[in-house]
Amino acid sequence: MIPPTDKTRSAIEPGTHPAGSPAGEARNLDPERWVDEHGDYLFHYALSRVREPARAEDFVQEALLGGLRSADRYQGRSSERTWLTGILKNKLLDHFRKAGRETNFTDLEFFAEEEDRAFENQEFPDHWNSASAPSEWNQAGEALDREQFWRVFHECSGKLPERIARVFLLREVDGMTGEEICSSLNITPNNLWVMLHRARLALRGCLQLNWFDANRGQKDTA
Amino acid sequence: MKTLWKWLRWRFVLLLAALTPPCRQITRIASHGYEQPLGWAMRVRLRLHLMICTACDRYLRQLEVLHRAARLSGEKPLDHPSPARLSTEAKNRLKARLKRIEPS
Repeated sequence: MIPPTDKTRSAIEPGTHPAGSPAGEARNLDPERWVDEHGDYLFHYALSRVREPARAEDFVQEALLGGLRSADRYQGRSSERTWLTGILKNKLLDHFRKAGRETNFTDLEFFAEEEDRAFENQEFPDHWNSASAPSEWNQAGEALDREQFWRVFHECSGKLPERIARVFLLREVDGMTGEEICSSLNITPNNLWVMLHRARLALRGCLQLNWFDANRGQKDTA
Repeated sequence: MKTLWKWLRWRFVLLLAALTPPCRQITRIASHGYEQPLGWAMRVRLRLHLMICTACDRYLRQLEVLHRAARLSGEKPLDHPSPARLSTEAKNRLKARLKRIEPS
């Protein structure tokens, strides 16, 4: 937590919100505008990681307050949104770190069963069975340009158990390194790898079912 | 002649299947490859397996799509309709709280 400095205080003048820009101030600190411009983005970011809307909203609030307090350190090198997202990410990581002690692995056990089912094969043990084998993804590249695909994508990642989703999002969306995630969440590399693997397995399956298989045959009309 | 060829091909597939890890392992190894570079021996076994296994070949290509999609979803998540948005009430609530904190 960064205590508010005098510089921050002077940057915020009462009565200048929402649009007012204090004369002589290079930066226009306007948290209300932050809410309008970045609120949805930050909320979605938090919600995909903590799952409860009320908690997600609290985290957004904390991040915006953090932004207000540390505004004097914002150099304008990154976009405002990137900067605020960074603050939010750190708030979330702090929270995960504290909660990490209670980590249990029922989520992982649940996923192990899914994996078992995918590779249940009488004839060739540990190979795909006919129901689970991946089928061809048509026009996978084009899918990424379709709005509907992203809805399915978010729904699918929302279906992952919370901890597994968290690890996957930190690794693949935020691009944190494995080492960073392990030390932040207090987990072993082995655990991280298993969680990432299960997340990929489940997400792929979900996208297959809800996007690629569902769209088969509609291609020509789309 | 044709049946012999078929038989030989099937033997070849079974041989490679015996030499390479089962699909279950392959999917783990593929995921692991995103975390750490795989050793050359592992890469060879992976390639050999993909020669005889369409399902794993697809799986690996689809992981790549997933990887790209995840990156993109972070870069421009609100260019597409986001499933989760703050309600107007929630926004007003946030603004009110922020106002209270602002030094007067």
